[in-house]
Amino acid sequence: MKQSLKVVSLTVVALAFVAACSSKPKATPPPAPTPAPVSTPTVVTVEPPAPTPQPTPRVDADDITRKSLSEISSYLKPAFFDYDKADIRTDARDVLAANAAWLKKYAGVQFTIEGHTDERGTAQYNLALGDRRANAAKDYLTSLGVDASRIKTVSYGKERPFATGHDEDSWQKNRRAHFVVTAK
Amino acid sequence: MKGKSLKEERENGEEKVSLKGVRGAGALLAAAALFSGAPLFGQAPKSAPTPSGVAQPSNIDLTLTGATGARRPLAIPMTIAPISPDLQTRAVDPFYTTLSDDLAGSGVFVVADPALYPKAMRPPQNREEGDAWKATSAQFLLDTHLAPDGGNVVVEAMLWDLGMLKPILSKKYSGELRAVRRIAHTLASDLVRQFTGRPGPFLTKIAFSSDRERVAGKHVVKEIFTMDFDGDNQRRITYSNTLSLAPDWSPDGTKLVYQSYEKDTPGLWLIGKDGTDKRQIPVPTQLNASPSFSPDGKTVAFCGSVKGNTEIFTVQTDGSNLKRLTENAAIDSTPRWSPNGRELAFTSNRQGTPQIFMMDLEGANVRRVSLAGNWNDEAAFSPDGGRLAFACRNEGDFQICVMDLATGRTVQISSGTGANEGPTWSPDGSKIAWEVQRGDSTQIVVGNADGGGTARIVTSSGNNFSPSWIKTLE
Repeated sequence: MKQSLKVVSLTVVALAFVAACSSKPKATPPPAPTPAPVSTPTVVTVEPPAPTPQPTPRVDADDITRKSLSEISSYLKPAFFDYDKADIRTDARDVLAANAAWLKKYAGVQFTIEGHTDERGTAQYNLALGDRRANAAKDYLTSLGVDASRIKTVSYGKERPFATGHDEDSWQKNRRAHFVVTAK
Repeated sequence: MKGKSLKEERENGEEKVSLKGVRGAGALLAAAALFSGAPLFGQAPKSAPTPSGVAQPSNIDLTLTGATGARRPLAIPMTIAPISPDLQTRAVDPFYTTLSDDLAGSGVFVVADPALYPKAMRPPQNREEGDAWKATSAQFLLDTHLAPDGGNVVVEAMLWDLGMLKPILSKKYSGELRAVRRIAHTLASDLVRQFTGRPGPFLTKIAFSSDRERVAGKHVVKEIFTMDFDGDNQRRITYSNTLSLAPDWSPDGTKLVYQSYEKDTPGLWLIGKDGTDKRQIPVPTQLNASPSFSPDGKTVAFCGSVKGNTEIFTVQTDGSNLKRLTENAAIDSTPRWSPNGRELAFTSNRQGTPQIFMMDLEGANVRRVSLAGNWNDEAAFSPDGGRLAFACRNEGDFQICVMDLATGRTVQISSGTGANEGPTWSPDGSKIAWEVQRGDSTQIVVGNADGGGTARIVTSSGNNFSPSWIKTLE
């Protein structure tokens, strides 16, 4: 499993408070510190650079026997989440549907869904939030017919970020359900 | 009562000025180096992010919150020792610095500015010499002498009352040269006991989680460490080679409970304070985060997950008697046991944003405790159960707030930029340690629970998280 650990930007806008995100993709970077999502009415909607849905990976059944687990893991794309939310977004539905289609084709594949969060919020709360994200992704897959017995979940909260910047770009990358194949 | 308090407060306000002049410059410089550009941890107490309905305490209120009375003005002239550069650097300087830092941060004394000390008049032989010391604002004088004795050092200390012009406390300590800081901590603790009836927290330890063992390019690894309360004697306890998080001391100070990913999925683990007797508490739940020992040491409260819903559970340390206390679709996390053992504080977003609630051990009588701000989390009871420290946020960064549970009055004891999280109380209730993240660095700081004085950064190797102060004073 490869993680891209790009330091995106170290400007200390760190922990500046950025509003809750909606799910429509938009390329603009997040604006300067904006009001908190709940307590103030003037919430500026910041749209995360949501990854475009990936097409179903085209791999022949014979192929995966020759692939490493980390290569196979990369076929399963992560589902991204909004700030402090564990709801499956529209874009994440497409991703998970593609993952489910692939997983149904390769019934021998067992995998773990890792729940991750961005660095905002306390470590302990984020562990709980990550647990919800992993389980939300699991529930969505099982609703699409993937056998729950193939799926394990684990939360890493904000302990193992994929991007280490302190801006919305990094935060969005870290708010994810991440797939790791453990058996094929 | 109110009027008297105000008078004392003003005195304290003045005292704090001289206190700052005395504080170890080393600690301040270290802080500046770690977080260059950021303001130092001047704990100029600020009012907490409270809504209009909650009392906004003034700075003056803050100073008194944890004080047991007026602080005694104390002069601590440099320790007298045989002239030897080696002895000076290895014993006298660390002894004197440790002693001064402990007493200045004790909340019991305020240290008179050493720049004002008269020369060569110690102990005071007559009224005139006594008055020369009193002119520094001191009412007490701590006269210390250090001498080598084979491989050991001997320290003699005498506390003078400058008004009565006579010694009121005389102590003698001896120990190995490398234990000289421990001698200073012991003396400081004894001096606090002289005035409060209880020893100071200077010999206590803090457990924490650190990523200092991580290898570049590999997954983040965090291990459990312990250290003296001032950051000395840092010692690795776990060798899990994975994430080991959120330690909490057993009430007797012999072991720690923590969360570890040792078997891939996170579990609850116990380990002796010296790293021996490690074992897992078997539980059927997932996540298994934020363990908290009950005051009788028999039970652990934790945040467990069942089918993706996190709830508060309790379990005996052998894994028996698992009990679910919350039943709510929202996130329930981070339980902390109250010192009387009858209640738990925890965090829940059941009303929208994460807030602190309390409940009894049956999961009944649930009530919201934190009223202001849009994120309050990681509650910690003061040892007497009267106050709650927690990470609080309204806008901007997390700060550390302390709430008086009887009145609801809340004060903020941290300041400046950076995310301040995970507060934990010293066993005497005089200090609070927490973690602060600034940029890419997270370190543990120790400040006074009343927000007075200057908070000190006590870690520097790697990033350091989740401090847990030992619960026993000695």
